[in-house]
Amino acid sequence: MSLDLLIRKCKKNDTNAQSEIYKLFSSKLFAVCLKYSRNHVDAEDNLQDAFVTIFEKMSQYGYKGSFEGWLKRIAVNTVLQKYRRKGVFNIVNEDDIEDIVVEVEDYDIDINFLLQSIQELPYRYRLVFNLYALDEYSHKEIAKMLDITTGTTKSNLARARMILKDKIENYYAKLNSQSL
Amino acid sequence: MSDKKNIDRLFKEKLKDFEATPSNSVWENISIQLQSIEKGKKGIPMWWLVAGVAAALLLLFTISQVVLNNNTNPLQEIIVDEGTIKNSENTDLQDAINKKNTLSDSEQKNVSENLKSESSNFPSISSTTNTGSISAQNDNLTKHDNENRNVTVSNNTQNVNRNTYKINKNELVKSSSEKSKNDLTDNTNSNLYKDKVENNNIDKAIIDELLKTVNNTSETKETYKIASTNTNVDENITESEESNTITENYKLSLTEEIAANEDENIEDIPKEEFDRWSIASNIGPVYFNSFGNGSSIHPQFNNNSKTGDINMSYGISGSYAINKKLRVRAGINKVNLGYITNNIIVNNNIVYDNIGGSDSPGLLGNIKLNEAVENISFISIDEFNFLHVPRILNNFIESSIDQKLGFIEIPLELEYRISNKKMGISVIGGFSALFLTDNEIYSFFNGVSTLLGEATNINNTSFSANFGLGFDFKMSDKFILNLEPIFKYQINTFNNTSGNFNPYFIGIYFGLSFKF
Repeated sequence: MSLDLLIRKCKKNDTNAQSEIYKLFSSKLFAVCLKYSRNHVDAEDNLQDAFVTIFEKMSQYGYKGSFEGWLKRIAVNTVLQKYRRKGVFNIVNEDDIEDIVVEVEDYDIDINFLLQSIQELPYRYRLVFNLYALDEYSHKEIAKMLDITTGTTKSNLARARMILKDKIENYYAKLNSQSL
Repeated sequence: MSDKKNIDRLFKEKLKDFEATPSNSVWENISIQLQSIEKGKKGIPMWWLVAGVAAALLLLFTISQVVLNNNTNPLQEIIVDEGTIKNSENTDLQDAINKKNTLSDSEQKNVSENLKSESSNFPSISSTTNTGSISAQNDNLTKHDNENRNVTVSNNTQNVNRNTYKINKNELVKSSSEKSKNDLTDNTNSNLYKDKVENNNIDKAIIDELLKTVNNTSETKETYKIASTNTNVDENITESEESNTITENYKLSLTEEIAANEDENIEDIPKEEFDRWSIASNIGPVYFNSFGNGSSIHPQFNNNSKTGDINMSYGISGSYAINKKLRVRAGINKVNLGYITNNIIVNNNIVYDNIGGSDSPGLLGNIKLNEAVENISFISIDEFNFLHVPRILNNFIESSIDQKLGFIEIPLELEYRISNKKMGISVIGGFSALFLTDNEIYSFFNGVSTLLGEATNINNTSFSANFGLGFDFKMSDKFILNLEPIFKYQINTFNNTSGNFNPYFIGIYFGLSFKF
C-alpha cells in the first residue's frame, strides 16, 4: 500500500492504516524523542503523545514537504509544548557566553553513550543543542520556540557543548585507563 | 585514526541514522487513547444530553412549583371557605337542635310531634328507646355536646317520644359535630385559621340567611342537603328545623357557638405550611491554614513560618426543610486552597547527597518534581546553617514553596434555625467529602512563580468536619440572601505529614437562595 493511500485512510480514522503508519515511522520518531527527552520512559511518553497528535491532526497534513518531516516536527513540538506548559525554572548565573567552537576527538564512539550524554543535559540545554546542532534550527528560531532571547540560546548552546565535551573526554579517559 | 572534530558535527553524523524501537505498550496506549478520543467525540453529546435533561427537569419542576403554588392558592381558599361554611352550618344545626332542647315545653311538644311522625322513618333508631342506649350513645359525644347531654338526659325522663327524638338528635349532633371536627382536621391548610376568623363574621350573615331560607322555601332545603354531606340524617334535621321558628335567643346562642368554635380551632388547626425546598448558589473567599507547627512537605519545614492563602470557593446547593427549624442540605462546590511555606533556600544543580539518607533535606519525598526543575533542591534556612556554606554560597536564592490545591467539595450539612425573624440565624454542622482536582507546587523567587511539580502525599478523597453560622435576610417570600462563615477541619487530606500538621479552612460564603 502506498504511503499516500495510507495517509488518506488515516485521515478517515482507519485503524489499520494508523497502525501501518505507526509501524513505518515509530522507530524514527522514537529516535527523535529519545534525543529530546531525559530518559527512555519520558521518550516513550512523548512518542505516544506525538502519535496521538499526529493522528488527530492528520487531516491538516497538506502533502506539502515530506511526510516524515511533518511527523518529526510534530514530535519535536510535542516535547516543546510540554516545556512551555511546565514553564522553566530560571537558571541562575546565565551570563552570555561567546559562541565557542568545541572540538573533540572522534574515535569509534558508542552511539548509546552520545545519546545518554544528550539526555543527561539540563532540560533547556538539551533542547537548544538538539534544535541547533542536530536539527539545524537557527538561534532566532530557537529563541522564538522557547520564548527566550538569542543571547540565552547561544549561551545555553555553548554550555551544552562544554558539558558534552567534558563527558566525551571523560569517556575516552575511562576507555584508555581500561585498555592500559 | 583520530582527528579533532566539531562536536556538533560529531553528534549529527553519529545520530543521523539512529533509530530505536519503542516498546509494544506505546502503540497499545496510542490506540486506547485514539479510541477514547473517538468515544469522547460521540460521548460528549450524550453527557450533555443527560445534563441537559436533568437541568430542564429541575427548571420545569421549579417553575411548575411556582406556577402551581400561585394557582392553587385561590382554590384552596375556596375549599377552605366551603369547609368553614359547612362547619358553621353543622354547628348551626347542632345548635338548632340544642336550642330545641331548651325551648319551652310547648315548643318541645311541637318538635316532638313533628319528630314523632318523622321518627317512623328510622325504625332502627326508634327501637332503641331506653336510657341505657341513650347514655351509651351520649358517652360517645364530644365535650362539645356535654350541655346537650344533660338536657337530653333530663328530657329523657319526660317523654318516650322525646327520647326517640333525642336519640335521633344525639346521633345527629354526634354526626354533625364529628363532621365538623373532620372538616377541621381535614383542612390542614395554613390559611384555614386566618380564613376562618375572617369568615366567621361573614358566616353569621350567611347562616342567618340560610336559616331564613330554610324557613321559607323547600328549595333551599335541597341546597342545604348538598352542602352538608350527611344525607338522610341531615335531611331530617332540616325537616325538623323547618317546623321550628327561630328566635332571637337562637341567633344569640349561634354567635356563642361560633366563638366556641373559634377557640377550638386555635387548638385544632395544624401548623402553618411553608416552602420546604430551596436551591442556592454561593461564592466566597476561603482561607486555608493549619494548626500546629507541622509541614505537609518535609520535616525540616516544621518550624518555618507559613502563610495561608485566600482563595475562592463557589458552588450550588439544595436543601429540604424537615421542619421549620431543621433543614438538611447538600451541594457541590469548587474550592481552591493554598498555603506558602516561607524561608526556604532554593538551589539549582546542587544535591545535598553529602547529608545522606533518603531523608536528606535537599530532596523532598512528598514532591514529585517536573522534568524542567529536576535539578532543584530545597533547604530550610534553619538547616542551611549546618551545611557546607562555601560550596553553595554562589547559588542560593531565598524563596518559599507555595502549595496549591483544588477540590470538588460535596457537603452534607444540617441547618438548625435559632432565630426566625426577617433576619434569620442558624447553626450549621455537617461534613464534606473532598475530591482532589488540582495539586500543584510552585516556588516563588525573583518575583516569578514557577511550577515545580505536584505533591505525592495528598489523598484523592478526603473529608472535612464543618461547623458554622448562617445569617439570612429575606428579600421576598421566595428569595433569601445568605451569609455563612463556616469552619472546615480537614480529615485525612494529607499522608505522611510531619509535626502537628492539622489543616483547616474557613470560608465566608455569600449566597442567594430560592425557596419553592
